[in-house]
Amino acid sequence: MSRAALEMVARDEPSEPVRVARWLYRYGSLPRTAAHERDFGPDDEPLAVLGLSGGGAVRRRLEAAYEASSLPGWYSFTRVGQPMQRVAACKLYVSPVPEALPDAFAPIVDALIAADVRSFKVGRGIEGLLRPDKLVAYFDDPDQMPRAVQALKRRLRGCPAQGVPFTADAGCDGLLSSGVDPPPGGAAASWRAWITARLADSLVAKRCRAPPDTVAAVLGDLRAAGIDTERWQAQAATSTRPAPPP
Amino acid sequence: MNASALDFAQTRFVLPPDAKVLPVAELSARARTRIGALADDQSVVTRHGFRVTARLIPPPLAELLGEFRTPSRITDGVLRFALARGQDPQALLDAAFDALATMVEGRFLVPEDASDAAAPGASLAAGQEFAGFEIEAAVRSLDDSEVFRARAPDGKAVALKIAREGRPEVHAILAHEAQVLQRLGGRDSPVLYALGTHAGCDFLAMEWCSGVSIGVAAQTRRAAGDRPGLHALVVRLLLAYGRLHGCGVLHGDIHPGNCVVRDDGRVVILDFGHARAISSAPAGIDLARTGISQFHDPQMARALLDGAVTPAATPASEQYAIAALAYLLLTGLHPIDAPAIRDELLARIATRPPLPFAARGVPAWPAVEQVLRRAMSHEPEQRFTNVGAMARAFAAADTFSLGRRSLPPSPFTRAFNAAVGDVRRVAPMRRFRRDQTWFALRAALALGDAELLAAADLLAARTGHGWGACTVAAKVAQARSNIRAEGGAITSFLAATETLAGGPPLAQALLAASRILEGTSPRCIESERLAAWGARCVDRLLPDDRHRACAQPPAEPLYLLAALALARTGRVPTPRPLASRVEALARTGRGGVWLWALAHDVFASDRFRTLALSTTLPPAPLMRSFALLRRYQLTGEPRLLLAARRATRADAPGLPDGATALLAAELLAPETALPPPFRSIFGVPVRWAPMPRHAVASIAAAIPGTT
Repeated sequence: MSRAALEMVARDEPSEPVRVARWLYRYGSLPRTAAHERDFGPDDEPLAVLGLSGGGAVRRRLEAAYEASSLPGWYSFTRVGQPMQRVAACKLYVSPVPEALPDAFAPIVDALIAADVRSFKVGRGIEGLLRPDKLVAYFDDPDQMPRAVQALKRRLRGCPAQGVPFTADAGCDGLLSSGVDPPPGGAAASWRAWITARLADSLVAKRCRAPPDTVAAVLGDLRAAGIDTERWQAQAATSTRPAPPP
Repeated sequence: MNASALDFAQTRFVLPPDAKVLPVAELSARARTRIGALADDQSVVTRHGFRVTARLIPPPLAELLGEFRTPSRITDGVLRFALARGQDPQALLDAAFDALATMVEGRFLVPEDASDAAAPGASLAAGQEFAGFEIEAAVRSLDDSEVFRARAPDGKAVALKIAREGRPEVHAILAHEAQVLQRLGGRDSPVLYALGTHAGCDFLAMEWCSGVSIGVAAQTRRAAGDRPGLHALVVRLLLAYGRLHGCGVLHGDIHPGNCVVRDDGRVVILDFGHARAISSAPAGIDLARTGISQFHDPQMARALLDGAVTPAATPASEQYAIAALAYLLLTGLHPIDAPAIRDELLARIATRPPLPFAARGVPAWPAVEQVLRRAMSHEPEQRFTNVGAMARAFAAADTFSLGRRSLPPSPFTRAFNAAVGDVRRVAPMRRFRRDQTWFALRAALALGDAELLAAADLLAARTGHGWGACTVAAKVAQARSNIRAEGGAITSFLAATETLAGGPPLAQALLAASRILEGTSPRCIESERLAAWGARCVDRLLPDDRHRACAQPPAEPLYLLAALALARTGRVPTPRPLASRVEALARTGRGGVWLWALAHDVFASDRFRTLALSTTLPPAPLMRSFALLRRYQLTGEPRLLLAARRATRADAPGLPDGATALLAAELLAPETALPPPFRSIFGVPVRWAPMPRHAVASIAAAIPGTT
């Protein structure tokens, strides 16, 4: 998927890094259709589909352990008594297709509760649920993530995945993947923002070549910068110990 | 409140602080679309927390109401208003009295010492005790009663309905509800715990049924694309109402808020305040009959429209309401499409059948639709003998799953796959970039394909700057949920149309504008500018000139098509002369399938539907297929879908591959299929209506650069 995105944009002979970065970041978002508008509902109505409306079973479960807050584009859930804004050691993307969410969201929440996840967020509105990185769980301790991954794998067997480009596969055919945000204070706020900006700069710089050569050169650039472009993570990372972008 | 019992001369009336008078122009675009296109200077007056119906009022009345923010006699308020504006107070009083009396009757103006002159608030807080029940949370506060979630001494969760002080009329309602609950014994309904009086307030305690509204449960199944699950939910609903009727009880107030789905899937019916025994239901009239307009049966709607006494609810009238609820749950839409103007809605209920699912953009479900149509027959005797029989017929209906859409092997497949391959490779066509981008978008939407959409986004950036290209860019941005890009595309669209003087080129651009407005985000500010531009241009195309010569311009069908398409968006007011000009065109026999189908959508007249189904089909294969798809959308008849496939397969050896591929994409989602809003697509002319040969030539000459 990540490779397909690079090949597609390389054929377009990109010239504006900011526009290319934005396009790469949005790659994998599903089209918003009239059926989504009607069945998920406008504004915050998609909450109902997740079981988060008044009386909803998931809401009742979450209320017991998490505090909810709304952010632009997101709903955030933080363990009761934990500070919301803290730098996470790593994060896990959970990416079911939107149609799977009505049935998958409850088991996802159960798994995150069981794994004692400190906080997680879910996309707000239809556009939030159509994006690939619609649900992100944060971990203070990298050792905690495998436990959550196992819990999610058990509960989400057969769940159709949308997949998050440019993130490290963590199982279930793209349903689970991970990333590590750059240290705070940098230009990019997240792993995906960081990697897509780097890719865009490189794509524009190498654009005079034939598209396959451009992609190969771009991936070479990234590898030279310390990124494993097969796993889409820092080369310093190991299977048990994630690492931030170099 | 009985307005006639008040002394209008001496009573000081007040517009309560909670009453909101909201100018239509200040409502969100979504709310305005729901109301329908109205003049922006009208206002909506409403009171949250009161059992009142919001009303639309004209600007002078909205201003006059402002005089009653402080308590005033009617005459004093009118006098102040008239003097401040240099008007004759007596003439104004004569003109405004009926409207003010209506405001009093609607409880927007209330006597200053009335109990409902202040907003209702919860009278009990969490932790307080009432009649031995511990209050946990306020659920609903109305002017006459309150509902709390509470805890019984034995730990059971309880729903506690409490009449407000000084509202003795609520006692009878609570006592009646208790009687019905006792009769039902907790089957498909909450268990009755207690009926009593505490501290001077009547109350009713019953089982707290945790779960979600059936509307939410259905929405969840629709979002999952789970038709079998949706079908099963509606079967449970119908069986529950069937058993209710079997117990001899009519519910009397059917709407989704009165049905809860428990965690185990059981449906529980709530709120029996308006219930009555079938055996005791008066055969003729029931002046106290209530309910939400969308669920009224045609006989009730007709009575309300005529100002006649309302007929009593019957098992047959309730069957109609239950079927209307089932339709809503299955589609997310009401069966009768109407603006939020009560009389217009009632008129449509009284005269029109439910719309086919395909007419609402929902995939057809013939077996289920047939059951609903019968249950919603206008003549009660044509409905099912009872709701139980309806439930059995519904349960037996086919529950096919929608699944992933694909084309059957056909000549379409090769062209479609080839065109999709080109898009994925971002291989732009030299001549038809705009059309290729349009195809990429339509294919992405039909298949729900993220990669095709991303490619469409790249192609759109290189499509050009004409209004056609901007239309495609705006639609791609909408599909990407990219409000900023959508706004940019609309701004470019408006710039590109600045040079259009009028006539057919302008009409064609208006048609494209209607497409943009149909899917625009309410948060996209530029869409307001587009709607305003559309309204101005339609006025230019169809001037309100009652003395106009009778001769119709050659492009009249195109003008009317554009005006109807804009009117249907709900974002642009229907121009005054539109109805008469559409009627005049109908008399000439001109017009085409799309024009009459749109006229049917806008004016809700079956005559136009008949015209759309009987008018001559376009001879060219591409437009013939699109015309048959439009007819399919009007009727939901599968044979028309089949005919649309065949029309192109049999007759179109010379059709360009791009056009064949586009048609294939539209056939994947026939309920949302639509021809492109351009003069041509992949070199094939897009002719909306049969026109005289000389008109075709002059229009083609007048629209440079749009092919």
